Amino acid sequence: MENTTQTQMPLVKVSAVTKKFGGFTALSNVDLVIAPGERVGLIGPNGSGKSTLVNCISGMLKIDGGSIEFAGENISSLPPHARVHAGIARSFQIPRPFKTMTVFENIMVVLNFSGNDRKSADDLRSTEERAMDIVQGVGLHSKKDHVSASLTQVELRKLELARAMAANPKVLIADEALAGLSGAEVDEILDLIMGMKEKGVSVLMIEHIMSAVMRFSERLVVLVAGNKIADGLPQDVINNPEVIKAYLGE
Amino acid sequence: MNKNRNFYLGLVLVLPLLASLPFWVQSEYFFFAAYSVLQFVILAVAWNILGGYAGYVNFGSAAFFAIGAYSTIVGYKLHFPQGANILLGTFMAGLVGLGMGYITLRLKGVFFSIATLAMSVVLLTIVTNTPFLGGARGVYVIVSRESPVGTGPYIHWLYFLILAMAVVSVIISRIIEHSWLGQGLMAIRDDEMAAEGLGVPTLKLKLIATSISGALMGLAGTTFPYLITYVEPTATFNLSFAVNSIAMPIVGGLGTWIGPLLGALLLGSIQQIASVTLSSSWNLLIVGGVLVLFVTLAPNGLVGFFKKWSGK
Amino acid sequence: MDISFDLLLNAIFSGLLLGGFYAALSLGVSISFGMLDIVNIAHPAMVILGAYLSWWLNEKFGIDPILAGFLLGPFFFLVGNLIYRLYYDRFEKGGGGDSLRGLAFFFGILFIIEMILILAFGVDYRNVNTSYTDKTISFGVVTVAYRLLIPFVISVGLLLVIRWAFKKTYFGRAVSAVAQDPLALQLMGVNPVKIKGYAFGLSLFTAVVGGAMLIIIQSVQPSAGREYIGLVFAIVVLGGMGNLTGTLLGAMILGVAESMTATFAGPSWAPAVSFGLLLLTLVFRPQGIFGK
Repeated sequence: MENTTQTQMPLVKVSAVTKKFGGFTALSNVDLVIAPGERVGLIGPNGSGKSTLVNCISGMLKIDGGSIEFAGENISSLPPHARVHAGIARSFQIPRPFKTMTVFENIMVVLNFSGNDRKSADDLRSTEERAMDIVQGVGLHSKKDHVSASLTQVELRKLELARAMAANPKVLIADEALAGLSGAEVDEILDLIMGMKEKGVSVLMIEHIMSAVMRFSERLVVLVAGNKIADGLPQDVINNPEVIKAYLGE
Repeated sequence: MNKNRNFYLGLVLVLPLLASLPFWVQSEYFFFAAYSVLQFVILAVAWNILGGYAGYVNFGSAAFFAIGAYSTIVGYKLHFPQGANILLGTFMAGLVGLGMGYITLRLKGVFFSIATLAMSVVLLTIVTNTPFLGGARGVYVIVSRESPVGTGPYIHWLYFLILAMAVVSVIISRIIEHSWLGQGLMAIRDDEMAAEGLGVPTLKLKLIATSISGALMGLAGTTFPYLITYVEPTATFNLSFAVNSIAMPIVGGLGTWIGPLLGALLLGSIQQIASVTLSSSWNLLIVGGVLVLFVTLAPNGLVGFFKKWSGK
Repeated sequence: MDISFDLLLNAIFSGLLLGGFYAALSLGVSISFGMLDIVNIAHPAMVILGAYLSWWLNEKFGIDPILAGFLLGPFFFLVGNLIYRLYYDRFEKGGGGDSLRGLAFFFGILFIIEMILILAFGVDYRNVNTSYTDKTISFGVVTVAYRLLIPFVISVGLLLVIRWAFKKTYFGRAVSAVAQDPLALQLMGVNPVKIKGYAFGLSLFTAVVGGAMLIIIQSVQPSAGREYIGLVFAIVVLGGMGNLTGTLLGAMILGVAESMTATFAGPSWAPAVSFGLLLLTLVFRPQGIFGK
C-alpha cells in the first residue's frame, strides 16, 4: 500500500451535511474526510450526533443538506445496499445478527450479496473458503456452526465486525464496537479493527473508551451537539480547550 | 447434492402414483376433495414465499386467488382456450403482486399486513361493482361433462391440472429456498435493517417475492371457475382463503417448502372431513382453533416438532 | 346528478353521528393497537359478540341493549385481562419482535368467535326493537333518528371520559407511560404487565359497549365484524396511533365520507371508502392526519 499524501483523493468526503428531525437539528454543516487506509476516531458526548452521522454516511438516513461523496462519486441518494457495493460497510452498535442463521451462514449472506465482483481478480478462493478465512480471522472458528442467537456478547461483536469485513469494504465504520466490553475483550476487538489497515481498509471508529481511541486514531474528530468542533492529530485535539470544555462541562 | 437427488427421486416415485388415481379410485367426490386440498397446497406454499421466507404477512391471499379466477372469467368471455386463461391469470396476479409490493413494501410489519387486507377489500369492491365481471350477481362458466383426457368426468381433468400446479409450486418454492433469493429473503426476515446495511438489496428481493407469491396464488385461482362453474365475489374473495393460507404454513412450519405442504395436507383434509361430517361452519372454527393452538403452543409447527423429536 | 341540499345536509349529519359511533368502536383498538402495540384484529368480532350478547339479554330478560352492554362490560374487562396475560406470556415475554404470531393468534380468535356465533345463533340477521328505535327528531331540514343519536351521545361521552381518565387518573397515566417507556415504569415500581392487562381489558369493555350500540343502529349477523376491520384500523391510523382525540376526528371524517358515498354512489361502494382511505393513509401519511 503506497502512502501518498495530498495528491490522493479522499475516499469519503462529507461536505456541509445537515440532518434534522422535525425541529431538532442533529447535524449541522458537518465536514469530514477519510483518506484511503486512514484510521479516524470520532468522539463526542452522548447525543452529539455521532450515530446520526454514521447512519447518514451508510445511507440509513437521508441528509437534509450538503453532500456525501465516495471515491469522487456523489452517493447522497444511494440506498444503503448500494453504498455497500460501492465499498462502505458498517457494524452496528448493538449487534444485529441474522438470528436464525449460524455464524458461517451470516458471513455467507454478506459474501453472496456484496457481489463476487467485489473480491480482487487474483482471489481464486471459493465463497465458502473466503467465509472460513473470515471466520477464522476473527477467532470464531469453533462457533462457526452455532446459531448466532447463542453467542456471547464478545462473540457477537466479533461476528458483527466479521460481517462488515465480509463486505470487502474500502471503508469500515465501527460504531461503538467496544461498548460494554471488559479490558481483555476490548483489546481483542481493537486488534481486529486496527488490523484492517494492513488490508488497506480505512476505518472510522466511533468510541467512548478514550484509551482505545487514542491508541487507534491517526486523526481524531470531535462532534458536539451536531457540530464538528475539532479535527486533527489526537494529541492536539485532546488538548484543545473547546474539547476539554465539552467533556468536562461548563 | 444428496438432498436434491432425494427430493426429485421422491417426486418421480410419488407423482405417477398420484396421477394414476383417477384410473382406479371410483368416488368422484374424492377428486373434489383432493382438488380442494391441492388448491390449499398451492396457496400455502405461495404464501410462505413472502410470509415464511421474508417474514411479511400478507392478508390479501384471497385477492390474488380471485385475480386468477377473474382473469379466467375475462378470458372465458373472450373465448380464449383454457391454457391461455391459466397463463393470463398467473401473469395478472404476479403483476398485481408487483404493484402491491411497490405500494406497501415501504411499510413495516403489521402496517404492511393491514395494507394488504385493505387492498384485498378494495379489489373485492371494484369487482363487485363491475358488470363485465358479473358484479355481485356472478358469472356462469360452462364446462364439458367429460375430461378431455380420456377416462372419465371433467373433475379428473381438473385434478390433473391442479396436481401439476401444486407440484410446480412446491418445486419453485424449494428452488427459491436453496438459492440466493431465499437466503436474502431470510436475512430480511431475521433483520431487515442489517441486511440492507450489509449489501442485500431488500426492496428488490421483496418485490420479487411478492410477485412470485402473488403469481402462484393467482395460479391456484385460475381453474377455480371451471370447478364451481358459478363465480361470484363472496365465494372467491372469501376471507377463509386468507386465514387458511396463513394457518397452514404456521401449522406445518414456516420458512420451509415442506411445512406449508404438510400444513395444507393436514388442515385441508381435516376441513374436508369436517364439512362433510359436521358443517361448513365447523370448518373455520376448527381452522381458527388449530391456528390459535399451534401459534401458542407449537410456534415452529410440525416441522419444528419433528426436528425437536429427532433431536436436532 | 341533481344534488339536493337537503340530501347533502342529511348525509353529512348522519355521517357525523355514525362517525361518533365509529369512534366508540375504534376506541378499543386505539388503546390496544395505538398504545399497547397489540394487533387485535379480532376486536370487531368481539364487538359483534357483544352485540349478540346484548341482543340475547334483551330477548330473554327485556333489558335495554345499551344497559346490557354496560352490564357485560366488567366481564369483558376481566376476559380481556386474561387474554392479555396469555398473549404476553406467549408472544411478548421472549423478546417480542415476532408480530406474526400475535397477529395469527388474533386472526384465529376472530374465526373462533365468528363460528361460535354461527353455531349458537345461526346466520340470520338479528336486531332489537326498543322504545326508541323507530323514533326520529327534526332540526329544521335535518331529520335524525334516535337510534343514531343516542349511540352518538354515549360514544362521544365514553371517549371523553376515557380520555380524561388517561390524563388525570393514576391508572390512565400509567397506561400512557407504559406505551412510551415500559422500563421507566418498572423502575417506578409499577408492573407494566398488570397495567397493560388492565388497558387491554378496558379495550374489550369498549368493544362490548360498542356492540350493544351497534345492535341498536342496525341488525347484525355473525360475520359482520369483518367489514369493520378496515374501518376501525383506518380510523386509528388516520387519527394518529393512540391519540384519542384524533380517533374521534378520524372517525367523523370517515363517517361522513362513507355516508356521502352511500348516498351518492351507492352502498355497495362503501367498503372501498374505509379500506381505500386506510390504504392511502398507510402509504402516504402513516403517522395519520393528527399524528406526529
